[in-house]
Order: sequence, then structure tokens, then C-alpha cells
Amino acid sequence: MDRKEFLERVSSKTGAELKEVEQVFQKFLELTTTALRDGEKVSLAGFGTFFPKITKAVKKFSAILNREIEIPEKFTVAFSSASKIADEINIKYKDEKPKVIKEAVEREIEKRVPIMPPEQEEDFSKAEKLLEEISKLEESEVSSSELKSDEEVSLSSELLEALKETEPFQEEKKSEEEVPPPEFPKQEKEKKEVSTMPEMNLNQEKPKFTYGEDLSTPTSSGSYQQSFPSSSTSDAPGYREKESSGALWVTLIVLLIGIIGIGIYWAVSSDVTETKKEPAVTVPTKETTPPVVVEKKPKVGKKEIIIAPEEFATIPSDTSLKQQTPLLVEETKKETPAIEKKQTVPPVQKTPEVITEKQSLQPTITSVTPKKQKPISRRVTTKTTTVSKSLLASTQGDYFIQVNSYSEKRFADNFARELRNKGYRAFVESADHPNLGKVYRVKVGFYNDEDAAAKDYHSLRLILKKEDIYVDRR
Amino acid sequence: MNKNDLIARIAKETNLTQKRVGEILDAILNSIVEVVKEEGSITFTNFGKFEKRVRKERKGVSPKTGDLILIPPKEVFVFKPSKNIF
Repeated sequence: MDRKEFLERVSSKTGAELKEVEQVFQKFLELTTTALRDGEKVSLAGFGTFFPKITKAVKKFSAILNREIEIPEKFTVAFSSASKIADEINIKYKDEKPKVIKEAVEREIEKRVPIMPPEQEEDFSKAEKLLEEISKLEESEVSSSELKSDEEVSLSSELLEALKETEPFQEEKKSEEEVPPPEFPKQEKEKKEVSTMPEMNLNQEKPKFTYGEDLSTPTSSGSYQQSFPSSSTSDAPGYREKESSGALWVTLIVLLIGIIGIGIYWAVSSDVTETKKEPAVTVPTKETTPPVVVEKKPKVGKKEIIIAPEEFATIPSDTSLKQQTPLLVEETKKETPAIEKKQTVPPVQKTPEVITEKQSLQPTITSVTPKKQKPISRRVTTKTTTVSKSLLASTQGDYFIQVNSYSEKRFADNFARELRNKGYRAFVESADHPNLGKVYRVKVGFYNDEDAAAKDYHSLRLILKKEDIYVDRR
Repeated sequence: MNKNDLIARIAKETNLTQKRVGEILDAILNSIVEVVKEEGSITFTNFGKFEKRVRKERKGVSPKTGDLILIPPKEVFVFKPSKNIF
């Protein structure tokens, strides 16, 4: 429908002459556009509101020009229709009502899975797993004393055994028990998916590994556990020597892992970006902590442990370890490529963890976690300081703008920060007011001459929509 | 600027009574809505285009209960300003 038809329609409706209608309509368009251009909004009751709007300037990458182009800010008109008209227009879908897809409670449970960081999950699972393990062990009729010590004592050894089961002992498994080995890889895949972070694959990951499996598939884990004894009995004697050290170790290690996990979780959650920046430091987060410890120990006095991960296998540390290390290296080498595709770290690096875990003392590991957190906080602080420095009030000049005053310092500081974010050199000054007591004044300045101050004064008045701002001289 | 201001100014510039202008303006606005309802859109050169658009159905969260809900599609009255309006 063109304009003429439209006007005829209106005139027939009102009984007014076409000329009159045209005049009114023309003026209507003219006046609304001029008002909008002046930054005024035009609200027509029962129809809607036109209001001027400024789009933000955006930087976009132009594939044609092969460079970034800046799209300047733009003035447009926005319109929001009156609710009456909105209802009138909405005919087709008038009767449709919102449907509930999921109840609130269900959704929260679902949410928790993705939200919970993988580390926490495992911490959680560790406890459960231990409980499960113990109960299952008790159930299983196999010689309980040895087995318990086996599994409880060395978390890392469990993994090794698990690894053994997958490849070399698969055949044995099949023959001995009906446990389906294919399930194992599946679980591993799940694990991979869960653990997007490369850190997972490092040292301590071994214990987690087993935990994750148990958690993910409790039913299958039962069978897995039962099969466990067979492999463990066939294990090298070296394991048992270690394991004899007792459940003390287990509890200690579990505690340590928990502490580290929490610490790392905090560190990671506090600054994810920083972890990305420094892969060397952060990749270890959870599990690399042991390596870090190893490097730092030398200062304390234990020179035996100063080992680059690759050299590790050759260096003798403990009597029991000597026997194990070669075995461990071989196994890890075999399996790592198959299990962890994402892992960029050389497979040999895994081995250190085993030893470090057992040798590592509580204080050393715990001391590592704070070290990681510290740099983060430092960086943050430096950033803020640099920003504030650039916007600190210049001490030159006599003129300043009094913007606002508060009776509480935190409010004043907050407001000053907002102004600084907007590019003003805002600062807070405390003063004693005869009636109000202590007052914190937010000021902007200083300026060398009145003109410079007046510029900011006007812009501040516009931005803050505040009338009681004034320029003053100190 | 609200409708009364607009009517007053139009009346001043067209030498019509405010009452008359008010009637005509209301008729104009009503018929814009009617036309959009019937034909889907109406365009005024150098001003803009009024049209009817369909908002797709989308998922949302009920602020009341926290349920995840499917918000049904909806027809809305939209104004798209002409490039020459500024």
C-alpha cells in the first residue's frame, strides 16, 4: 500500500478532507524526525515510542580488505510498540503458552555436572572410590590382607596394575574371568572427554584414572575390582615391598591429593587466562606439582631426586623403587599413546609422579600450591596499579571538579573507580563537614586552566545527569 | 515529546484545531496498525517501515519457578527506520 492509498483510507475513516490528512501526516513525520534528531523521544500513547539510539562503534575484520575496519557509531531510531498494539498484532500465536521443558530441580542436577570442574569431581570421586574399594575388597574372598595393602597403599601402583590389565594381562583376564575388557577403553574415552585439560594426564592422574572409572560405571567397576586380585597376585614382588608401608601412606597421599586439588581448583578458577598464558607453569597444575617439587627439593638437600623426567628411570632412589622403575617406564611407554591422545608431554614423564608421590612429603607439596597462587595475585595487582597510575590525579594545576560526596569511603572509592573507567582523573578527598562529620568527596582534576576543567565539567554533567557539579579552585 | 505536544505543534503549523488534528492523528496511527495487520507492512519514504515480524520460539527460564520453558513464537510490531531519517 502506497502513501496515497493510505491517506485516502485515513480520510474516509475520519471524514476529513484528503488535504487536511496529508498536511497532518506530513507534519507528523517532520516533527517526529526533528525531535528524534534532537535526541528527544516521541511517545505516542496507544501506539508506541520512538526513541533515538546510538549504536556502539565496532571493530570488525574485513576478509576483503584483509584488515580490521572500524564501524563508527551510528544514530538510529528504535521503536517499542505499545502493549495494546503488541497484543493486537499477535494473532497467529495468540493462544500459545510457554511450556515447561524441565522442572527446576532436575535442571540443577544436570547443571552440576558440566559446571563442576574435573578436578573437583575427582576429589569427590576419590572418597567414594576408596569406600567402594574397601567394601569390595572385603567382599572378595581373595587373600584380603595382601590385596588391601596392595590397593590401599599405593594409589599409583593401582594404576599401573590397571594398565597392566589392559594390555599384557588382557588375555589372562579373559581366561580367568568373564569381565569384558572392551569396557575399559570405553571408560577411558569417557575420561578423556571429561578431562579437556591436558594437566589431567600428568603425574597424579593415575590414581584419578581408576577413580573416574569406578565413578562412571559402578556396575562394571565391581567386576573390575574382582578381577583386580588376579593381576595383583601376579605382580612383581617389588610392589608388595612398597605397599607394606601401610595404609598410612594411602591416607597421607589421598589427603595431599585432595589439598592439591582444591588449591589448584582455586588457582585455576581465579584466573583461567593466566593458566593458558604460561603452559609451563600451569599445565602441571594438579599433577605437575610433584615435578616442581622435585626441582625445588635440591635446595633443601635431597639431591637424589633432582631428576629430569626422562632421566628418571635410570637414577636410583630407593631400594624398592629400583626394582619398579624399569617396569613402570616400559608400561607407561606402551600405554600412554593409546590412552591419552591429547597428551603432549612425553610419556616417560609419567613415571616421576609415582616416585615423587611416595617420596614426597606433606610440607613440600602443600608449599607448592601457594606458590602458584601468589604469582596470579601479583599480576592482578600490577595490572590495577598500572591502570590507576595512568589515571591518577595530576598534581599540576589549581582547578578541579567537585563531582560527588559520600559519608562512606567505599562508596566514594567505588564512584571514583567508575569515573576512572570512563577516563576521568578522579580521586577521593576526605574532609570534615560541620554537620555531617567526615565526608569523602569525589573530585576530578587537577586542571591548569578553567577552560580545560569546563570541558570535562560539561561532559560529566551530561554523562552523570547531575546538576550539582561545579568547578572549583584549590 | 508526547502525543499532546505533537498535536499542539501540528495544529499550530497547519492552522487546524487541536481536536481535529487529534482525530486525524489517531486515525493515522490506527490505520497504520490496521494496514500492518492486514498486509504485513507499510513503508513511508524517508521515515521508515512498520511491519509485522515473527519472533521465533526460544528456550528460557521462568523467573518465577526456575523451570526451563519453551517460549512460544510471537508476532511483533516493528519499526525499521529509513536510512535517511538522520
